[in-house]
Amino acid sequence: MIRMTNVSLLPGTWTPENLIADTDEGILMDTNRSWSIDDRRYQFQFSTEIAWEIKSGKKTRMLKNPSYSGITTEFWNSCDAICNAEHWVLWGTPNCGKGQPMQTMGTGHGAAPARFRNVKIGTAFSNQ
Amino acid sequence: MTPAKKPRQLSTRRATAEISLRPERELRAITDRVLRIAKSSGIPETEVHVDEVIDALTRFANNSIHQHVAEHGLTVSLRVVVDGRTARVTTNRIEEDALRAALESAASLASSQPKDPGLLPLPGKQTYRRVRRFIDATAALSAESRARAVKGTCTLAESKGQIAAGIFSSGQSQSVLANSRGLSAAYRQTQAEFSVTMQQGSATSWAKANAADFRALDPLALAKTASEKAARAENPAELGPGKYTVILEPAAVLDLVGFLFYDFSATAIQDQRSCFSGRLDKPLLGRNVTITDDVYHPEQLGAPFDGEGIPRQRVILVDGGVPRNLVYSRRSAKKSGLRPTGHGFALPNEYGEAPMNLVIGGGNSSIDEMIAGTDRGLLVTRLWYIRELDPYEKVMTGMTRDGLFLVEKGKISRSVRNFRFNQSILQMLQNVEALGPSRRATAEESFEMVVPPMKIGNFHFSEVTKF
Repeated sequence: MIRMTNVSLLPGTWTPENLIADTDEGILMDTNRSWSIDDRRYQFQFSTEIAWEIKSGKKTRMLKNPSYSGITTEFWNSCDAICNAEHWVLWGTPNCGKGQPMQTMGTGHGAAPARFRNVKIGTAFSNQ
Repeated sequence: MTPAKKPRQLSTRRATAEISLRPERELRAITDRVLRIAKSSGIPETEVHVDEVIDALTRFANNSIHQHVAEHGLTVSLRVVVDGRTARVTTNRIEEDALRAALESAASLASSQPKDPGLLPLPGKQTYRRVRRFIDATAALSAESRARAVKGTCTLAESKGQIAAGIFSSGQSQSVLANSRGLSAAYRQTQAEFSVTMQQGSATSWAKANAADFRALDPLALAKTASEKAARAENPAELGPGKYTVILEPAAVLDLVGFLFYDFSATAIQDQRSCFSGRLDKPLLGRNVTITDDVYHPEQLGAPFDGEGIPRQRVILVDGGVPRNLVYSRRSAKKSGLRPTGHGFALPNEYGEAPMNLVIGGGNSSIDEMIAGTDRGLLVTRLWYIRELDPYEKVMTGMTRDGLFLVEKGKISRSVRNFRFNQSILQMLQNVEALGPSRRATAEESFEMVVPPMKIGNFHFSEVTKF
């Protein structure tokens, strides 16, 4: 089975401090909590363990039950800033499985903090 | 959507199994050998599992078979208890020296463990209720027989201008479990599974079945169901998100309800991480919801004993919407002052126990009747990529796939684009408006269960995708 086991986001030029300072209104989300995407990889929803509101370039109050969702291509087209190599991390080597019977492979994906514009938030817990 | 038809009989006259399981006595000879070496080595308590598995699978895509695979394996997994400490070692070598080395490793590992105050001595001899789940015809199913069934599916796809993909697998397995206190258990079963995805243009649909006896499967009928639904699924309309009445086919029901699996564990309740914590013996689900764990149900598979060799009991987990009972391993039962129900996993483990043979009580409404009685709703073939958002309210997210259809004024009017759901399973099971007959169903995200189709009100779809 063909599997993209080592796809990474190349680092950009920003620092996290500059990225927050450059953001008028936003949400800083950290640490993945749940993940799900449709079988053609368009519609996704992720929730994270923690988030903070960004107001006028400053990290402010903590937010409960953060989540973001969207359509993959629209989401990646909305990326306008990526932090530099100093903040780039090759995240772990968990595995990912597919197929019948299941085939699993070790995976590792690198990324740095990044900013995405006009992302839908909060739908994961909107029914509660 | 399509009523089940009489299964088409696949011929086994020319089918011959290339390989077969060893006689049970050979596995017992291995357990005897391990226990003898352990005794002579001065190991106080030893448990040994010997598991043999033969699986074969025919995989097809683009209307042709592209792979036959088969595997045959035997593992010896042994656990020792030394001075309140335990450890397990597993090997696939059965020579005397290899077994002796495995036992020495287990004893060494146990000695480096912290003492476990909750660890119990091994159980003694038990009595088991007999189950018959080894079907000679399934064990004898050959690659040629599977290929003939796949050919029927691919021929159908070609005649409809569609593309078929899927698998047809069959297998047999046996386990022998023994310990140094005289416990001795044995079990064998066969299993066959057919899964097909049919693609027409950009639309797909799917059907799948699984049984101990392959003659209970009807590959061509499954292929026809998937084919008809794929044809109907083309050019889906986009609906807005919101709360809908849904008719969930059994595969969709089981993939969601399967996430309650660990919540019925007594260990999970004792750890206060179950969604039933603080909710036992109180009305929680609809009065029409009854859930049982029953390894003896004629459509279930699996051994009548647990990982320590304790006989499995039938347990009514939810009775008329009220969560009443849990399943217990020996350890969690002792902690609660109760008897084990025979649902413990092999030790050591971090989970304790779980029901493995869920049976959800059904009703009399067929899916066609549910459709006929629905003014506006959605018929859901199956779900995909289900993940937990809130473990106590049991809010799950996931997608529909392989055929989502709008029902209007008692009829399927058209296909619609797939939705994401964010839905509490507990709320869902409070809103069950109709139940169909329960039957063994299989999907991709949970284990097989005996479940009914369900009509459910106020199911929450939050977003729509592009197809």
